[in-house]
Amino acid sequence: MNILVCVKQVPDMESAFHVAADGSRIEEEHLVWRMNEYDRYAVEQALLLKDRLTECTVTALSLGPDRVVEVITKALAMGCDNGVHIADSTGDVTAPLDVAEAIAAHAKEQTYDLILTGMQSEDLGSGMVGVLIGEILSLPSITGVVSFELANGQYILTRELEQGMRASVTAPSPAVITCQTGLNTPRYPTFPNIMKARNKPLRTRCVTTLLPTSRQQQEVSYSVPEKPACTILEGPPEHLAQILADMLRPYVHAASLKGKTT
Amino acid sequence: MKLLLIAEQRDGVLSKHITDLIGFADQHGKEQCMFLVGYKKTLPPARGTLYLCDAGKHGEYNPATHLNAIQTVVAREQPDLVVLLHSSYGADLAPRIAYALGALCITGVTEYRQQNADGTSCNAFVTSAYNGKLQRTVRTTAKQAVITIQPGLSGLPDMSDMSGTAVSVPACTSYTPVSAEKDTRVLFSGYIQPEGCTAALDKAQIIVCAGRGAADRESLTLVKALAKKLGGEHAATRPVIDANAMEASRQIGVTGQSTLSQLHLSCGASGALQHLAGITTQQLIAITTDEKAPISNRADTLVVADVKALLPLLLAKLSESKS
Repeated sequence: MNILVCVKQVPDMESAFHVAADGSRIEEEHLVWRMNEYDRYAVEQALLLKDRLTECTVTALSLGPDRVVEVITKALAMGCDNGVHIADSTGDVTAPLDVAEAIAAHAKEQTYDLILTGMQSEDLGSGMVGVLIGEILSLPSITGVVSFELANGQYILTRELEQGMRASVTAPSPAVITCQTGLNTPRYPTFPNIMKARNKPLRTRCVTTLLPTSRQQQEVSYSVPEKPACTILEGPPEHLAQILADMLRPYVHAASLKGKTT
Repeated sequence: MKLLLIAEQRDGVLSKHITDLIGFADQHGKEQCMFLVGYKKTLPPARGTLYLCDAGKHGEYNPATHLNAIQTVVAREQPDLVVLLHSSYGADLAPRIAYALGALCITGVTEYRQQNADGTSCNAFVTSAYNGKLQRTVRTTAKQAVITIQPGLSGLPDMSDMSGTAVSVPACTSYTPVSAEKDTRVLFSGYIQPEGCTAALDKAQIIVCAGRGAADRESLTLVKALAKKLGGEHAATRPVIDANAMEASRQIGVTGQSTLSQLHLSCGASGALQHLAGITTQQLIAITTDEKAPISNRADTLVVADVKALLPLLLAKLSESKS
């Protein structure tokens, strides 16, 4: 079985984000980068299949500037067999359709039985890339999967809906599946695997060969949202606890009254 | 400007956010029509033509089949904008429609502007980015776009019957049937009902909710103790549930429970949109170390502190006051 798992590098969401002067992008200095949370579940799902099957190769792919090699290396350290870096030195290829076209162009040359992605990215959260890869390659795609099984060459899946509802879905192979958090428990790389990861094959492909022309019809700008009024309390914990206690005391009183009557 | 609204239903129950679609269309369009894969016995409210694709025949979930039916409607109506809800159904379908039409796709839209601040016309869609810390505005000259809007989007006209001034839209009495070529690759074999919510979060007046910053055992013990002290229920955000630190029925958000409380005390939650969507409360107090966290957009009071440091002190003070 041949599996492609797509991973995105995103900034740590705890970071303070600053918009560049022209508004077109965020300042990347001082940002700490890591693997998109949803994609960790996709990598783990690929590795769970690899653990079970005798013949299974897992390729980890990421698109972006040189810094994204770090997340490919992370996926290799988790246990993926080889990496593909679709190099975009400009960092301009971020529109979901562009990203999907480039990944699909790569996938078309290989024969993958399964393409896994995260359900969405933490930074932009469009949730489109996985579905679009499926549409471009004319493969069925199933989104937001929270349980996964492979039986008789078919994927038996559970999609997460709203309010705790889920749906059972069966899909043939090959397919594109996007992973929701909670699907599994992503593993941490072990030290021997981190060492091994450095010697695993990494193929670099230039994004312009896979995506000769962008179909982007959009111009993007970023801004800081206006915040509605909110009282901010700061200071030593002792002081804050006192203020909060004063605010919450009526509730405690009501609760104790209720306790007495019942 | 003509809008095609894609409504949704599950098991014969219409989404309560269909009125969000209509409200959005009222605000931005001259003309609107609606498409639904559903049943003729439960027709949604709509203005303009309702196109109905029989869910009994075509399946409640089958993206390729539904796409095929929508393409038929698009060919007939030639809408400028196809609008879906940002839900498990809409977010799944929107990119497929956009790809088939060669249209631009923008998901999770929180605001649509047809006019710049200086009065000139534009076509700009605003979405939330970087965990709500930034706003992303997509301007386009594309002729056709497919978007999903956040359910419960603010700024929409109130469509409920509750207040005297509200506009209500009656349910349709007639429809135009649409059929589709059935795609048989993906098989839907039924819904799985949620495990019963033992906590009855939807009825709780006071909720103390743990987020990623309070997902450890020690913090959760404190959160539960505080909930008990206040006579409320404890709850959590998705990351806490994913880590198996609390039972799944106590999750608040789009994929979990929706709450309607007097007091919501948020402990260590960043305030992702999907989580905030499940909170309706009179007073939201948030304890977080990250002053810029998106929960600050919704909180009435933001307490900048570490949950583990603050809650023991708070619990002690609340016990004092009792005696």
